[in-house]
Amino acid sequence: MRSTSGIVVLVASILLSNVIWSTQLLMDYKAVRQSDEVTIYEQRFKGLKKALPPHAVVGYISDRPVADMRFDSDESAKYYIAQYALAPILVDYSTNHRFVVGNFHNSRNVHKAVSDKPLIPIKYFGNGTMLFQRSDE
Amino acid sequence: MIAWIALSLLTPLGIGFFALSLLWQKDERLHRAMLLKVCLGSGLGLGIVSLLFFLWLLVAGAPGRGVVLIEMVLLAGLIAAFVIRQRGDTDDSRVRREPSCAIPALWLIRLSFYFVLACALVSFIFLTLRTPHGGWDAWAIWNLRARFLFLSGTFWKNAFSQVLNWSHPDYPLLLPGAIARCWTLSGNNSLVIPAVIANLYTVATAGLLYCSLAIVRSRNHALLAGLVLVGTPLFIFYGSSQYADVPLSFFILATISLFYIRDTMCRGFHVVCLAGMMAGCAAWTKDEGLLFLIATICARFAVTTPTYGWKAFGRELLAFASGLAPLAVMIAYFKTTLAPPPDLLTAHEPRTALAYMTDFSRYGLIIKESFKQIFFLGKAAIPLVPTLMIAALIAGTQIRQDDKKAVLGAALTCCAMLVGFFFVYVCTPHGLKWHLTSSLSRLLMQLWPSFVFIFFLLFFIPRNTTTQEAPLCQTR
Repeated sequence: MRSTSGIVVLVASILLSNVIWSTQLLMDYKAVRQSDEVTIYEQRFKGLKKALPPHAVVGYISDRPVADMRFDSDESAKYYIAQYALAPILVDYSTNHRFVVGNFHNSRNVHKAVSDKPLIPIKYFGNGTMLFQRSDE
Repeated sequence: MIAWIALSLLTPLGIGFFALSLLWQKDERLHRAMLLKVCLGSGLGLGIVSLLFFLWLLVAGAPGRGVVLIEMVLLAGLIAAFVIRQRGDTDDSRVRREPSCAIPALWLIRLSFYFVLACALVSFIFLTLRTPHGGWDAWAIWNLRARFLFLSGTFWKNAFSQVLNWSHPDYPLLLPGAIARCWTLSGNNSLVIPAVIANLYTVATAGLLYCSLAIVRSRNHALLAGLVLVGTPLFIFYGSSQYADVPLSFFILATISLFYIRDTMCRGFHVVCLAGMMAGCAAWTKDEGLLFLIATICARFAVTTPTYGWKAFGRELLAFASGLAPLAVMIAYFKTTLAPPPDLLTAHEPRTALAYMTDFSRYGLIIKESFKQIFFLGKAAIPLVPTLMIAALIAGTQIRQDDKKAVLGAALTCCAMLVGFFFVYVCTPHGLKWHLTSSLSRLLMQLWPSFVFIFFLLFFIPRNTTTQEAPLCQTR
């Protein structure tokens, strides 16, 4: 009897937890139909990726360069996803490379971001993705 | 392409299954042991092919479909050896089935199990569709590494470039290697492959828990344990997120359950050799696997030596090392020649780590956060750990005298891991609060299937003594 009671308590708790969790998950069904951020980035960087050789090492610049990415999870996420989307191209968080990938979410920020850097825009690929070349190379 | 995807996934299953079958003694009643071998073999097989792929990269210099020839030769050799052995084997060991239990409403447990399993499958598929590239660690570490291994050709070593130092290029390669190998065979980096591999390890872990408890306890223990594991939302979430924590939890559970089977049912060293392979695969999966290796050896020493003496421990260690050796050699090679030093070791001076060890406020923070995480472990609406404790208080616990040392060995291994985690957090160069909140739940989830295994070794379910059969393999 005690054993049965213990089992019933266990089974009932897990059943209830699962019903609650599954319901919460499925109520968010619209999320399945929307593309996740990584998929969006793959689409955004498709054109730029084709323009670069597969084993290139390129720099990276964005709307809001930060001094230390460890303390800015939003900016670091954008850079990491960009690297994932562009693999096997190596993307260094620096502008000290011949070619530099631009990741902008607002085109008005482009001029401000590159104004103090020796970068010449080569091509705009749409969706805020650009390729620059260093003018001193 | 579909044929290549199927081949890329079926070959490791075959390799793992037949490698396991060669090490396992022959059983008359294969049914339950067969399922155990399939679960163990699927995880082991992916570990073996991942290792072969890495070897291929080292020797050939680039990924190529030629690796499948090596796998086919290996598979053919294993099948041939298995067939020859089956003909000559006169072992008459039989599977022991624990007497089934006569509790009322057994049908309710079975129905609940299948219901929760269905919920878990639907949730897994839903979560995979929502994030097809996996969670943060999947695309930032494992799948990123796999992309570099597959897409870089002769430049595959770029996967360990310092440019990627934020993505832990020192992490071992079981998962990225297995994924890159499947992509190489299928010809493109399909999102299906990492999702299927993640699903395979999630299902194999649940299957392994069920099978091992069905053998060492009863089918009812197995059903309840399966219900708890599959009903753990965080387990399903991490599985579908394509994190390496679920594959690691598989290898940890495999090692612990194999040692338990060895201690209670088979005294043969073949099981220890197999446990060594599983522990080696754990170390090839994540760095926590290296900690697990040390924890396992320490726990086995603590349990074996007082009872059987130094020589017995030495023989066991030798058998363990024989299974571990091939993986240990590759891991050592990888860590010394390709992988950069881990950030936990290089990010600050040893003096700083020593200073942290005497800072007891860090101990307090870790203990407080640990209790909180353990209480809410699994992220279930009704906390799982308190529920299990209450169920055990009501139903009671039972442990046979002969099994006490085996249970102790399993529990000591998990405790040693927890102690290891504790001191890693004490000395962490990262912000302690951030490190705890971002990783502790994953580390605990690596041990969760093993904890559930140990819990149900002790959980009391009354037995029906009408059926009895002989042991899994001959007791030596």
